[in-house]
Amino acid sequence: MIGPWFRDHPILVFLALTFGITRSIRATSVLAPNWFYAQFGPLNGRAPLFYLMVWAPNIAAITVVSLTKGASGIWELFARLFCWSVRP
Amino acid sequence: MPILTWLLVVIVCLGLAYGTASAFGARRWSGATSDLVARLTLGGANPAINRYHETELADLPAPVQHYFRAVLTDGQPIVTAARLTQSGQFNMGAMADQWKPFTATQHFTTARPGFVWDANITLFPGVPVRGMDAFIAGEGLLRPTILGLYEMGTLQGTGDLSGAPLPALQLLPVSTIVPAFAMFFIGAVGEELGWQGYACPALAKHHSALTAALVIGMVWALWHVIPFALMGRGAGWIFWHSLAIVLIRVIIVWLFATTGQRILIPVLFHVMSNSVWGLFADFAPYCHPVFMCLVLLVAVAAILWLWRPDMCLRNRYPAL
Repeated sequence: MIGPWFRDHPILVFLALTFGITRSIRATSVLAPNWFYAQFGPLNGRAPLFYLMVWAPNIAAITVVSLTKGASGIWELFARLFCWSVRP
Repeated sequence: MPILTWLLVVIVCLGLAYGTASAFGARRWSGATSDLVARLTLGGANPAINRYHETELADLPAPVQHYFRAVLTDGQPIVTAARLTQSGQFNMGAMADQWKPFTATQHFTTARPGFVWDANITLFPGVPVRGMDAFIAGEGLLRPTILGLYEMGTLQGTGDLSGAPLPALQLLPVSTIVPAFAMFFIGAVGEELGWQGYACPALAKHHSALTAALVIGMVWALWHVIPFALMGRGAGWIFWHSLAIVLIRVIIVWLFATTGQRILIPVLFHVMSNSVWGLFADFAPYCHPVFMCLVLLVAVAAILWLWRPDMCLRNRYPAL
């Protein structure tokens, strides 16, 4: 389903997706500010696009893990968040 | 790579960064001082008031008039400019005495009354505060900096600048803190699931946790550079804050590694870290990233010393 290069370099793909999401949003806001702010409003804590930018690492991780490990990988990723017990 | 080698690399990098910042700061400070002194002496002395005349004493108190009549001769040249070198102790404390060693050079002019005071105060060993106090052409300037680079609140104007306090430290109201905490939490989950849940363990599969922390820390810092620049932060602030971000990542990786690879603990640390900045209306005058780096560096050194196997051995954590 996915190429060998992608499988061999998942971290680079993760970084490309993370920076791609955030920088493309930011670049649009800089290059076409009138259109951007008319459509989405200011990029602050109340803007959905702000959370899309902040969540870019997670979106990239979900994308890479789902393509390399499938559903079990996604489950394992989120299990690390919802497992609350820690070693003393 | 052995821990001592890593420590050596970190120390050498910090030393180079400090040396470069010091040299650059000293050069910039010297240029700024020369410009101010040039402005102070602009136009030279006024020949009309270059000589002493007894008529100038008319409004002075009698003992002062008596003194000047004794020591001055009518029509003699008077001093129009002076340069003083000073050394001693400078009180840095606002509420309690904090005497710190200092050296300074002060330039005075009398034709157009003014001065430039260029001081070097040793706040801590290796952390000099370069301070400028000036009054030129009716305008005052007070500029304290660290290393001559990072300004800690410049005051400038024609009003009364003396004794102007730092702005009051204001907490945001509770009605703002709760949504802000929620916003920080949501943001931290989004970041840490990616950086710490996926990227760091993936790197630590082939390297040590410390290597993973430094690499991801630098990438994480790079990720923040453009937002910081768009916020109007200067290059110096961004550099030191980026270094702080790398050190924070080392602490986050340590938390992750020593608590069973759970993301929640790094998320809470991330929230706490952002809250420190976010819950104060204006925190910047009270905390410079340089000091943040120094505190974080001590914490990271302690972690690397006490949890060396967790941080420095390879292949300790399961990657996805």
